[in-house]
Amino acid sequence: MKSWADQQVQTIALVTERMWDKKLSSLLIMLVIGIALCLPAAMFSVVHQIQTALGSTDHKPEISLYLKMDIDEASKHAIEQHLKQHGDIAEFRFVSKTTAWENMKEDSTQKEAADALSINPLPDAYFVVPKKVDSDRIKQMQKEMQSWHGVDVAQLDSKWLERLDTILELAKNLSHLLMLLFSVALLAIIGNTIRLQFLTQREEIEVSKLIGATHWFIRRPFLYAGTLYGVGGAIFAYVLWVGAIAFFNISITDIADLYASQFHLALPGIGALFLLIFTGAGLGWLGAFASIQHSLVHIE
Amino acid sequence: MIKFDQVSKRYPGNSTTLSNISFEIESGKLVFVTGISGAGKSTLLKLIAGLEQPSGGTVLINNQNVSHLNAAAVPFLRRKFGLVFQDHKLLYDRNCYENVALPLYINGVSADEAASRIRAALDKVGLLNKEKVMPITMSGGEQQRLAIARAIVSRPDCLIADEPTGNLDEGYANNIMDLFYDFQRVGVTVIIATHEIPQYLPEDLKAQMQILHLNHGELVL
Repeated sequence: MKSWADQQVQTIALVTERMWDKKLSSLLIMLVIGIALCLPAAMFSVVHQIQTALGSTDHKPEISLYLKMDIDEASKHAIEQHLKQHGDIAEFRFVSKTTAWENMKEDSTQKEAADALSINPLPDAYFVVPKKVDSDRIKQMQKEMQSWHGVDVAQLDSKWLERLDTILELAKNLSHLLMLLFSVALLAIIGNTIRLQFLTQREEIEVSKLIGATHWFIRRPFLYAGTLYGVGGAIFAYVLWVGAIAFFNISITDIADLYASQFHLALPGIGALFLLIFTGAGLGWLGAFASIQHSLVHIE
Repeated sequence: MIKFDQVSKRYPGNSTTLSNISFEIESGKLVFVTGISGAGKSTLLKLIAGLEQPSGGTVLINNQNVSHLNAAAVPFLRRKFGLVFQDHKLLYDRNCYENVALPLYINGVSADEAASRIRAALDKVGLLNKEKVMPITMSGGEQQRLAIARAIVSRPDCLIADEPTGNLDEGYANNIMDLFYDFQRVGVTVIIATHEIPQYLPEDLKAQMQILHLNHGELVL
């Protein structure tokens, strides 16, 4: 056990020494890895934060139920009962056609139009606020209410929110795709770096094999190198991420001020750093392993 | 104990390199594998050390059949032998100390223990004062001695050398042979491939000597 630990320590010392000898190229590789890790992670985080912020705004989606002009009292009562018993509704209010007509007349911008009409053209209406801001569920509710007897139009008046949500969802999917693509790129970068190192140490590897080195012994320094590149890249990614968010927050604060909002993007926390390091180390190890496996087959 | 039974070796696209070789080497012997270039001397050594696997027949090392070892077991077979190659196979980007350290490092010997063993090996071959010297700056004879130090540092039971004095003048060659004789005297099996049996051979070793003469891949008794 002690000799096993000894070997690990010796290997890490050897690998870090080699990296130190080639400071600039090691740093550049880590920087490239850092950028590849930072972009999708930061994008995902930003999109997620905007989505969360929208979910908590006061602009809750509302379903307006405009009733038929010739609706009878019994149907109106049935609708009210439906609304009361519905589990997904946070609140609803009733605006009668008379109240709506009076409101319209009082509203200075609509007064002229109202005066020009001799009879009240407005229907009775219910305004319904759903419990959850979940566009699929809300759409389903809208369809359900549309089918109720006596309802003329069930209208969802949060189209803009829905559109924005769709765009954000698209951005989220894009960030997933980016994660996948950049992971593949990362494996390729690390794999190629390790392959080149393998080639420069080919003589040493051949001699080691002749005098009894196992494949694990030969792999070990390369696996550590790949992992260290990944960890270094993760630290770069974190720094880049923090820098980018801080930079964007300056302009976001300006916009948010215009809307009297306190919204700003959160800096990535310690959890994000660990996640980056874990991902970077994992991909680094994997890229190195695949590369060495390929090279070892060729050396036989 | 090393035993070959009807061993043959054929490389793809080549005529038979070794055919129907049978012999036995007891522990502690001084063995010369002789023959002209291309007779199959190097191939025979490689078969003993597990660097090659036979195409036919059985190779027994300490009563273990190693003819068809799986890939994972081969490194552990190789560690039983100390190998000295004709072209030294030293690492020229590392100094003498680090070159000798390599087998111990592979064997997982702790750094403290390794240090004393490396110095003992270097001392044995007369290179203790050249620890930090890079091998490329040393003479052929010194490089060969360094290769021997690397072969003996993990204290193998059997030392195998492929034409260790091939490129050296007589003075250096005798000096190298003396080293091998010394190891044989302390009980190490020594197997040396050479064109012909060296002129320089102490009387006390002749009783322990065994000769395997190869001619076109066949053993000539």
